[in-house]
Amino acid sequence: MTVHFALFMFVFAMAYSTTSAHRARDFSSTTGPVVKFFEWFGNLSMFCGRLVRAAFTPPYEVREFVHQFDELGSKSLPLVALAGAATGVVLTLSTRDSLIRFGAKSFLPAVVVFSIIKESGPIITALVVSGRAAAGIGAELGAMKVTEQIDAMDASAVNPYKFLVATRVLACMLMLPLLTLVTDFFGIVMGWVANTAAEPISLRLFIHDGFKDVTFNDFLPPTLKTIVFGLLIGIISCFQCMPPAVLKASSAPQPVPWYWPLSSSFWRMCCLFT
Amino acid sequence: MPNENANTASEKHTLPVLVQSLRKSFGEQTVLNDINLDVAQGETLSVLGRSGTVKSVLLKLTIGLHRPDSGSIRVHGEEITNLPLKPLNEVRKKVGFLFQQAALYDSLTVEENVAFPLRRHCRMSDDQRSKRVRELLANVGMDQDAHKMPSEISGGMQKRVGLARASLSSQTFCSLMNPRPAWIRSRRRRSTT
Repeated sequence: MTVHFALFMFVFAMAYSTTSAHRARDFSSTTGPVVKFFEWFGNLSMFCGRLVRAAFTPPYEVREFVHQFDELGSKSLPLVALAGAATGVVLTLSTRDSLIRFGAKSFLPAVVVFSIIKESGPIITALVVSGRAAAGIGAELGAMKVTEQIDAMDASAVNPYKFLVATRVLACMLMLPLLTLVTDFFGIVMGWVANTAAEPISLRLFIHDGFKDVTFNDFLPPTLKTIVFGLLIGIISCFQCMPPAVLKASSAPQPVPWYWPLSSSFWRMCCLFT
Repeated sequence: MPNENANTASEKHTLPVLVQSLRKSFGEQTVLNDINLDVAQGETLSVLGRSGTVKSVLLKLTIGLHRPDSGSIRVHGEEITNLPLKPLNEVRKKVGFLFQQAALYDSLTVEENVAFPLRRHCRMSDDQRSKRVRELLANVGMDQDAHKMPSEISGGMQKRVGLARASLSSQTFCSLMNPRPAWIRSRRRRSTT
């Protein structure tokens, strides 16, 4: 709780410091990177504020939201499935030898299932989506900015935050858990295939042994934490191309840093253990 | 005399567009300095200049896409320079704006592009909306291409579609960036035949 409060105060301080960032710019050149650092967080906070206001006030862009659901979700499906399958195979093959050495071969299904549903599945899904969908969002919004489509939306009295940003962020948040389920499924199935290739085992036995001690507490929190990953991916990919209008416009769209979901997961683990 | 001055001042404030002492800079570069202009009802005003002389910036300032550093911009008497977004959008609903490259939305068809503001600002049935859009596209000679995507039509055709979209909301005034005389003349010819 204390950590969360400290994080909130830090973000608030960044947002407040943005208003004085222009005065700070008059200082020596050594303060340039520091000012930019504070400005970036301040811009991000203002962007998040506008996003929340756009997402929770009517009218709602339901058609565009459904369209983004398809763009970000169903079109990421093959890649996510492939990533999950590869993860399952690699995990099984690399873990099998170690378990045999310690005489714990029978635990292999449980190790594969627990590893995939608790961490590998969510992280792999977030990495794949941040690489594919987020880059697509950034490129699309960047192209719209350059060709004045976002200005045209403003000129038509349509809030671009509602139509472009809120729909994409919400779609990311809702698609990530569903895509994680797909990753988990393919990871576990291909884990069985890889195990069967080494030593035949029936799928039924594999599933039974793997899920024997799995509870909803093991499955739901890791799957639902991908909502936060989706939020990070959506916000960062949209923010790079649509900073708040009050402040200086950003440069060309940047790819979503892959470390955001990883660092978010790390931060969450730290909070749980403190 | 004082009454005449008061009348002149009040008439000025009801002009469709009134710009006074406008100043705009980007960083340290001042691009507009002490600009004054007014556009009367029914008047057509052309802003001419070489490329890079911030004609587009001036037009964008008149609908609040940029905020000036100082000065006043009034649209039908309403000061828009520091207007919050919601009332500013009410002003924008009555102003048509055609961008230099038409700024059509890439993911929507020609018909959907023109229907975009209608769908959000007017309560219409699908049939009524479709009919209205077809009329606007017919005015610019693009009714046969309504189902096409912007990438499938030429630049000139995109500008015509942009003009159709801008004419939806041009109750107060219409700003056209770099309109082409050829298809404006052809449009006039079509409307008279």
